Amino acid sequence: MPILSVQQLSKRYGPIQALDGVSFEVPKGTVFGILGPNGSGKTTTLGIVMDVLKATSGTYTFFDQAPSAESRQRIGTLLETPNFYHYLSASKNLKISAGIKGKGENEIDSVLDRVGLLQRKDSAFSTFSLGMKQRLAIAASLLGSPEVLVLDEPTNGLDPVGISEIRELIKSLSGEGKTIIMASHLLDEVEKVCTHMVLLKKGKMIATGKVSEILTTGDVVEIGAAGSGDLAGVIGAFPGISKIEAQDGRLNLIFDSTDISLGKINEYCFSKGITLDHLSMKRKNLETRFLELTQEAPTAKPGKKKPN
Amino acid sequence: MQKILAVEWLKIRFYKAFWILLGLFVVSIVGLNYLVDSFIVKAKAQTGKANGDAILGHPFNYPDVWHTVSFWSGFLLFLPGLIIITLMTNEFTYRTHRQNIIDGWTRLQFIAIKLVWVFILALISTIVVFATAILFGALGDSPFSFLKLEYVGYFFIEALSYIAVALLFGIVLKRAGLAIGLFFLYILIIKNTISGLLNYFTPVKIGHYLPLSINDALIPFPFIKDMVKAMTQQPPNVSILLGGSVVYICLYSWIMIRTFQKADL
Repeated sequence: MPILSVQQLSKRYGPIQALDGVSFEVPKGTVFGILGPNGSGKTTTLGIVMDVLKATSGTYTFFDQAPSAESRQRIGTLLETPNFYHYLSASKNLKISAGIKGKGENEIDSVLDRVGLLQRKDSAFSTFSLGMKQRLAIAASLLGSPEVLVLDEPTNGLDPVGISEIRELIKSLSGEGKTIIMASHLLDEVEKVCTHMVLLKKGKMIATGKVSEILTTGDVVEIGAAGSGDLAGVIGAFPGISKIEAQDGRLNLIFDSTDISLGKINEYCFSKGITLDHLSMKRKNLETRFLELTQEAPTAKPGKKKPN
Repeated sequence: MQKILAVEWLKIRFYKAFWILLGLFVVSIVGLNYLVDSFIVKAKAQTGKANGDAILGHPFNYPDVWHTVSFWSGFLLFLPGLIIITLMTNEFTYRTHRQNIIDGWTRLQFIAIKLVWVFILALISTIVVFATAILFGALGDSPFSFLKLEYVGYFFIEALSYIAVALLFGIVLKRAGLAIGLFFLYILIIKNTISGLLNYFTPVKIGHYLPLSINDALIPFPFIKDMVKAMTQQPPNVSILLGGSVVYICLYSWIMIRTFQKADL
């Protein structure tokens, strides 16, 4: 059973198509990243599934059911910015959240402790720094120990220590069996934290599936051999190479898979009478991959999806 | 419903502006009626008691006091209007209207509880008016009477209407300054100007039937009644005004619910 299933979701703001036929499924127990540059439709998607925005077309289900207020009560959500009553203290704000959810009122101190705000529980929200507001919003989403967490840019406004704390928190929550849906524009964050993802660009879905399948491409091997004119021609016959790029007098061999043995390449070249003076494995830079993914023709690649 | 009310109570209990405005409203009602009362006493002292009584009557004695206090207090309904606009636009400013939905209220629940606040504020206003009328009546020299108590009931309808319109401005305009500005502009200038013009130019006085004018018409000017009656045509009969008021209140509520249900929050 997917926790969240989104089908052909579209949203139009006047002339702007913010979301264009996006479909994906969030499997139970995953840390699901919604990745995309600014303005790609991440928050719009989350806003629609939390019923604060109305979709132009398309449908979604939570827990295999039609969306309802009851299903939202089972989800802890931090959407875009921390939204609290400025004149109320941290604990009173959480009391309101717990009151609406109908659960978690006895957990207020413990969730505040979990995000490191316990000693500030009686301070007014208006006195909080940006990072503290963000922590309070995360605390609110933890109330009632929801089985699903929706976190929109959860590390926004946090310092490096805070960022790593929150990432650890997400991992530990995931370890407790919770499903986490997280929007981020940071590739690095999605790669570090998420197991599954959807990649959005300008409201269109570029890819969805396991992070390992989308972000990791085949190996890149750099080779060089001084004075051998037809290195490219010779190595071109080696199995598994999808592309060869010349760079600074050396060659970048781009493979389809990630189980390439450098020894075999060396052996192969040697058998063809070429002595390599350079042979090294280069992992493709993630940022390069991100740019590559988001810059290619924006057509969905549902083939990347695999059942669990 | 009880749970939702408990959450709303939490929002308001510690909101100082709410209590200050509410206190100001109570003081203003007593104060305004006191001012009018002392003005009448002064006027009567100048004209002589016999003449004064003949012209002005005894507006702060039973049973006229119900009418008088209801009429003057109606001018202060902008204050509970201000309160409800503040409560509503706060939610927009803090974006807590989104958070409340995200946390698990339905949109209908969110807007319905604000409509309950309209009712509660109208009820509080009416209780204050009732108590003020009893106070001034007790200080007068006529025996207690519930005659003309219906004016307090009309005041309740008037209060409901004003506060509902204020909430409507808040929901549609979303910004406190804009909503308060336009609400005041409407109740102080636009409403009176258009009503006056329409009443002047149309034989059936349709100016009385405009939103909120219809509620003002329920409680006519309480002094020198005979002179007023002679000068102006009688306002339409009370049951039409009451029916029209209820229709308007339903219409305001419908617009508010629909707006909030359909909008991107």
